Amino acid sequence: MSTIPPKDPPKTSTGGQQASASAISFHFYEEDGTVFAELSESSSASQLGKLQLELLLSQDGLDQYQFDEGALDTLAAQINKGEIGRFHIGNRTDAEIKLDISSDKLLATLDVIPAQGGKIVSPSLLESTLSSNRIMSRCVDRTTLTTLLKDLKENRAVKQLHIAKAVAPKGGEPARFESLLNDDKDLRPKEDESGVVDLKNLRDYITVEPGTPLMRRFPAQEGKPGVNVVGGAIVSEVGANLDFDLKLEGSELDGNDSNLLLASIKGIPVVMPNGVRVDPVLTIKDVDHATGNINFDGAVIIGGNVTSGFSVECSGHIQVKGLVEHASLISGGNIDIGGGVVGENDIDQPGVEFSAHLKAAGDISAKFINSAFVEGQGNLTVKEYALNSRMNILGQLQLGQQGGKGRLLGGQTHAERGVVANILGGEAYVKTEIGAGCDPQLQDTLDKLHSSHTRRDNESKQLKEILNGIVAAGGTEQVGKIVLAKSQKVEEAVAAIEQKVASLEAEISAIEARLASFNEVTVQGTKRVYPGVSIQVNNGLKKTLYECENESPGLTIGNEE
Amino acid sequence: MNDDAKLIVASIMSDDVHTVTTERTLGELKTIFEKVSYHHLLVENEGKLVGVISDRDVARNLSPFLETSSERRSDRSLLDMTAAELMATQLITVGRESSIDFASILLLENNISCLPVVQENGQIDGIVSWKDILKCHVYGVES
Repeated sequence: MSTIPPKDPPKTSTGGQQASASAISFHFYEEDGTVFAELSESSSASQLGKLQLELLLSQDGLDQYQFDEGALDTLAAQINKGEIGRFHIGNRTDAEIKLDISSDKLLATLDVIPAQGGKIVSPSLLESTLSSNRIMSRCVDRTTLTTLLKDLKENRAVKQLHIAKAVAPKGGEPARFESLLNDDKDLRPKEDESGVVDLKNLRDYITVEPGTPLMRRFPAQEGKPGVNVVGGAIVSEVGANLDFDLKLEGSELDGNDSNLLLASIKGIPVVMPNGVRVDPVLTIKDVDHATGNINFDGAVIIGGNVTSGFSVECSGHIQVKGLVEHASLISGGNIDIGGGVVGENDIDQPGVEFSAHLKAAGDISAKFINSAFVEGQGNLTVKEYALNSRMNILGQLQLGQQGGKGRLLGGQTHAERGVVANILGGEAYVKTEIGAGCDPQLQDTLDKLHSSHTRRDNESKQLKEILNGIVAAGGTEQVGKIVLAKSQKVEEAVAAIEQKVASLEAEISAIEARLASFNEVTVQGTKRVYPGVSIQVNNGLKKTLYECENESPGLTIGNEE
Repeated sequence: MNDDAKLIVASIMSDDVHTVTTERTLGELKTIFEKVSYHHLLVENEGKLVGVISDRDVARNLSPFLETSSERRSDRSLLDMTAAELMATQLITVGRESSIDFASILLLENNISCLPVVQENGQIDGIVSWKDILKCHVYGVES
C-alpha cells in the first residue's frame, strides 16, 4: 500500500469516531479506477477491524473492486495507530479471459476471471478470443457455449472449461463378408396353418452344386478424417482388410470377381466367419447291415433310420430323418434327428454305457431322446421329451420351446448355458438331476490362481529386498578366482517371477470374464415342476441349489436377486 | 515334464518329511538325530509348520557333562526341554511352485541349508535342501 498526493475525492466515506484512532474516508477515482483510503487526525475516531472496513466499503458501494491482498488488514492497523495520509488500497479490474490449447491441439480450455467493478467478457470479446486463436467452430460444443455465455453475462468465474474438442476421425469399416446362402433363420422350423411344427423337416440341409455363389466380400472402406481444435486434419485409419479363407475345402474364388466365393464341389455349405466350407455329402437310406458302420469325411444324410448297434461318425453334419435306436452318432458339425433316439441303460449304475450315444461339435436336435448319452458343444433342442438320459452340453437345452410337450424327466443333465423346458420331472416324482452354469471347478481354479499370484508377488518383493542389500554391499561374489555379479542373477530371478505374475494375471482375467458370462444362466420349468427334481446353477460367483418338494406351476432357478 | 515344470521346487523337493510335534523333548530329538542322516526336523502343529530344529540346535542345548562322570542332575534335566523351546520360529519358506532360482537365492542370502516347502495356510508339503538344488544343477531334474 502506498501513499500518494491527494486527489479531489469524488466519493467519500467517514469511519467511526474514537480517541487515538484516525478518521477514515474512501475515495474512488473514475478516471483511472483506483480506490484510496484517506486517514485524518481525529480526537474521537474509533478502533476498526477488517470486517468493519469491508462494511464501510460496502456502504459506499466500493466493495465490488479488487483490493490488494492484506490491504484492509494493514489499513485497520494504520487507523488504530492514528496514522494519517492517503493510501491506495484497490482497483477496478475488467474480467480476464484466457484460452489454452493443449500441445496435441485436441483440446482448448478456457478460464475467465470475473470483473471487479470493470467490464465483463462480452460475447464479441469471446468470439474474437476464439477466432484469434483459430478455434474451429465445429469443435465448439453448442451446449457448453450457451452455458458459458450465460456465465459470462452474470460475471461468474469459469475454470478449465473444455470449450473446444477435436472432432475424432472415424475409422474405416473393415472388410466384411456376407453369406449368399439362406441363413439359419430361414432353416428354422415353421408352423403350418394349425400351428404344428414338423420336426422331421426341422433342418433340411441345403446342398450346393459346383459354381454356386457362397459368399461375397465387401472390401475395407476408408475412414473419415477428424479435425483438431485449430483446424488441422487428424488422419483416419483405413478399415482392416480381410481376405477369404481359401484353405477351407470345397470353395474357390470366382475367376472374374475376386470378391465372390463359389462352391467347387457338390455338398453341404458350412458358413465360417470369412469363408464357406463345402462338405461332401453321403446320402444313405438306412444305416443297417446293408451299409455297416459309416465313417465319412463330410456330411451324412440318412433318409431313414440308424438301426440297433450301428454307428455313424463323420467330420460334417449328420441328418437322420427317422429314428436312432441303440446306435451311436459322432459328428464334427451338427446332428439333426427328425425322429427320436431310443436307448437303454441303468443310469443308477456308474460306468454302465448307454446303448445310444450322440456326440456333436455343434448343435443337436431331436424329437425325443430316451435313455441316451448326449454330448454336445452347442445347443440341444428336443421337442417332446428327454427321458432318463445323461446329457452334457456346452450350450443351452431347450425342450418344447418350438412346440411339443417339452418335458425333462429323470437322468442327469448339465447344460452350461441353462435349461428351459415346459415340464421338469414327472407325476411319479422321478429323480431328475439338472445342472447349469459353469463348472464348479472353475472357481477353485480361480482361487488357486489368486493364491499363486499373491505368493509369486511376495517372492518378487523378497528378492527385491535381497537385491537392495546386495547392491548396498557391493554386489559381487568371489567364487574361486571368478568374481560374479550377484545382483545380475537376482535381477534375472525377479524378472522371471514378474513374468510369471503377468501370466497369472492374464489367466485370472480370462477366468473372471468366463465366470461373468454365466451371470444370466437359469434353469426354467415354465409350466410345471415336480418333486424329485434337483437343480444346481452356478452363476459364476454365485451357486444356487434347489430341491423341489412341492409341485410347482413353474419356476426359474439361478440369477435371482 | 515341460521345461517350466522342471524349474520349480516341486520337481526337486523331498516330500517324505520327518516332522515332530512341539512337545518332543530334547532327549527325544537327540535320539532322532543320532539315527538319521539329515540335519533338520520340521516342527508341526496339526500339520502346519510352526518351527524348524537343526541338529546343531540340539547339540547347542545339550550339556557337555551329559553321560560323563561329571554329569549333574541339572545336566539331565535339560533333556526335558521341549521342541517348542528349541525351535527357530523365524521361518523362511518356499512353495511347491516357487522357482529353483528363488529357493537358491534364499538359501545363499540367508545362510541357511534347507527350506520348508509349505502351502499358503502353512500346511507342510516337503523340504528342499542345498543338496537337492546342487543335484538338480549337476545331474538335472530327472535324476
